[in-house]
Amino acid sequence: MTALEITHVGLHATVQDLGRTGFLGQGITVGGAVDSFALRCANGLLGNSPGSAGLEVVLAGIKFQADQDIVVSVTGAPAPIRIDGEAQAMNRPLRVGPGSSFELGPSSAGSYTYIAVAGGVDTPPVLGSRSTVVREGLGGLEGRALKRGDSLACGSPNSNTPPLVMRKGYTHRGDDGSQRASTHITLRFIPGFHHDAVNDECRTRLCSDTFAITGSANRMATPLDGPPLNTGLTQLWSEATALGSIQVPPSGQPIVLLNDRQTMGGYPQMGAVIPPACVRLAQARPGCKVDFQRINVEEADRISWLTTHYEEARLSAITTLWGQPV
Amino acid sequence: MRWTYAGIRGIRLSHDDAPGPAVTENLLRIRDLLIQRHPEGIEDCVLGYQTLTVFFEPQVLGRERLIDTIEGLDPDLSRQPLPGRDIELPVWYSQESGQDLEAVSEHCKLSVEDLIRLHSSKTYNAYATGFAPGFCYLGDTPERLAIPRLNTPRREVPAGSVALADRQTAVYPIASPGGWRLIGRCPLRLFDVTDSPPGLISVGDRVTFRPIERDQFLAMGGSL
Repeated sequence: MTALEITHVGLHATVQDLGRTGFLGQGITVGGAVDSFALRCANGLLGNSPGSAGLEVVLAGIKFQADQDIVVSVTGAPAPIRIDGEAQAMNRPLRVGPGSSFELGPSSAGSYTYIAVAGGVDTPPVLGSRSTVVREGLGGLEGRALKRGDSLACGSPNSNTPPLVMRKGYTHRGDDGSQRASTHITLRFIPGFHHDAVNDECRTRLCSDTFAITGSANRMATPLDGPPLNTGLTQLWSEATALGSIQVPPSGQPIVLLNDRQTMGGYPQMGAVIPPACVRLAQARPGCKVDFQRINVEEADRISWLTTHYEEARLSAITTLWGQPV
Repeated sequence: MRWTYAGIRGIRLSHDDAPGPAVTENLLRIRDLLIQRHPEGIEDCVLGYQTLTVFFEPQVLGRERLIDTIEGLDPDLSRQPLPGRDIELPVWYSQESGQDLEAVSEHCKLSVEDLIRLHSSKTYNAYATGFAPGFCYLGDTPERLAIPRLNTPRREVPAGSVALADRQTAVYPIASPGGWRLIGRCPLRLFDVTDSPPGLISVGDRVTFRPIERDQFLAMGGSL
């Protein structure tokens, strides 16, 4: 069994896979990689199954050593990589020899970088997932964020782990949109929940005002800052939240709920931001301007269809280019 | 009953009546019926006080089909036995195990003994699970026990804490932050990922509290 020894954590890093589904009714959140497509690409580059667990690193990098020869890949928010001091590229398989040190520096844009390891990170699954939800103390390593001195077991690489060669003339341009440095994004959302019960002004202003991402954004939610909205609703009964839910608490500053959201909430919810926009929001940094755009469910389905097919095509290209001996 | 969207893969049904046991029973029946009609494709169901939110896997169950089923539901879903169980939870009520006990007794203008008697003499309905894994909202508490939440939530409430907020009561299944008023502690494990389901209490269950003493609490595995 191979193990990674964590020698430094910049800010926050956790073990994540595609999340824990089927337990919302028990109050257990979904969790999972915030930029799940980036994690799937990182796995695809190594011949792992798409849902293998990897590391999700927030903003400030991580360092580790391996006790044996391992192959890793890095995707998501762009950040410098060094193996034994030598600069390496993202979005391709990288070999880390026994005793070599792997170093991911602070990201230059975006917030979440992913590191996959051939064979996957093998912490004990909890309710079907290795995703860490720190608030719930579930998954990952003892339900907590990674720290220096942690030793992470890795599974055995699949026999189809690609050799470290690349087809001539092929330049991999990265796997998703998270490397764009966003300064102004539009969040398309499907109205729902209490949307029709809040007052007209609140409905109008949600889509006409511009908000900004605050510094307290995390895996649970992205709180926004802007001229306060008044929903006109008080005292609601607690009910389910959804990925992308736009909550408007009494302060009037909207909060968009993400992967580690609490499963229930008592604040008015105006609707839910569509999943690809949730990823863009999570990857964007504090200060980024945010507009909301209301779309109908048919439009959301169309975007979802296009996103799914785009992602499948990219993943299959990665597997074709990297997953077979050349 | 009305429905709205809860994101791209969720439908939220809301009841027109005020929350109460009848509404919860009705929502539970609807949940069970939807799962029975669509054994594949419903990923999760979350019951709120007045709502049922159904999350589906669009590649298995089309939204239109789910909506058709919802709109075709018999509005008078009644007279079917419910799965709810009766659960008795032992509680050591004391200032030591529930640091707000005396403050609550003062606020409610009740002696500590009367407060305990009142809290443990009622059967509560489990209305919703959320906030934290296995955290179940129980109600309604007697009107005399109504008390607002703390202005500033505590950073950490010990696992097993029995608490009050408004007309609700609950047991914190795991140590977590919380703003409810603590009046005692239950020695039982309310949440264990190796159990199925992992939470001891489920929506639809009926819960009572039984006062125990400090030594019983410790003998039953309670920790301080």
